[in-house]
Amino acid sequence: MSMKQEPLMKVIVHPNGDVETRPMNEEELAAHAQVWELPSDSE
Amino acid sequence: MAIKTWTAGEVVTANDTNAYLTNSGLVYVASYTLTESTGDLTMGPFSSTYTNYRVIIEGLQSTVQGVMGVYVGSMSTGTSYYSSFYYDNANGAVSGYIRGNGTAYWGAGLTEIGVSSNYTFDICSPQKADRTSMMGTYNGRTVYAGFMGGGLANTTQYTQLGFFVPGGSMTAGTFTIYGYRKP
Repeated sequence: MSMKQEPLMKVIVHPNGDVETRPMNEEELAAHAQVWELPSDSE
Repeated sequence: MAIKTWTAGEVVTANDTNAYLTNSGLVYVASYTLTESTGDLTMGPFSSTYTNYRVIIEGLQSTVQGVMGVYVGSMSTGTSYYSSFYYDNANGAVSGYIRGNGTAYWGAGLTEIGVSSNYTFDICSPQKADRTSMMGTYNGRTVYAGFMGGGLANTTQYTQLGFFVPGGSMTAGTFTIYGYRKP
């Protein structure tokens, strides 16, 4: 049985203070997936 | 104009007040505290009012041990960002640099799962038709600290500033932006 994955949400705070929330689109998800190599605590 | 100390009984005029306000330092622009798990936060703080900005990220927690990603404008898979940040474990056993050479965002330090990390950096010239850059310091992933810097290889004028942890979500944090008042 596969678990349903919650969509990643994007929060936009407009200059007038209004807050908008929506699921991230494909291009945003592609950028979000660009993970860099990180150090190991024991290296 | 130098700092002035008013004396008891002295009359403070509108001209005096305006002059010293004009020459004051950081001015609050915007702030937002996360209220739910967030993949990306975009704020729209940049305008022609200020040329340079100070950003403070307080109490940032994430779902992965990752990088604090920062961008201006829209979040995209572009390759115009160049950055480098230092990481030094307080135990002295782990240190080095993480570099982004033509990436989609600036790296602004390490993040931790469920433990607060803090970052402070300046963004220079985001709304000016010139290259935008950032530079600052952080304490992240519990026992790491370091400095950061980065540039953007274009002269686009931006109004938006974005934050995310690539490969994860941000679960807590307050993002505050100040402008450097200019005469």
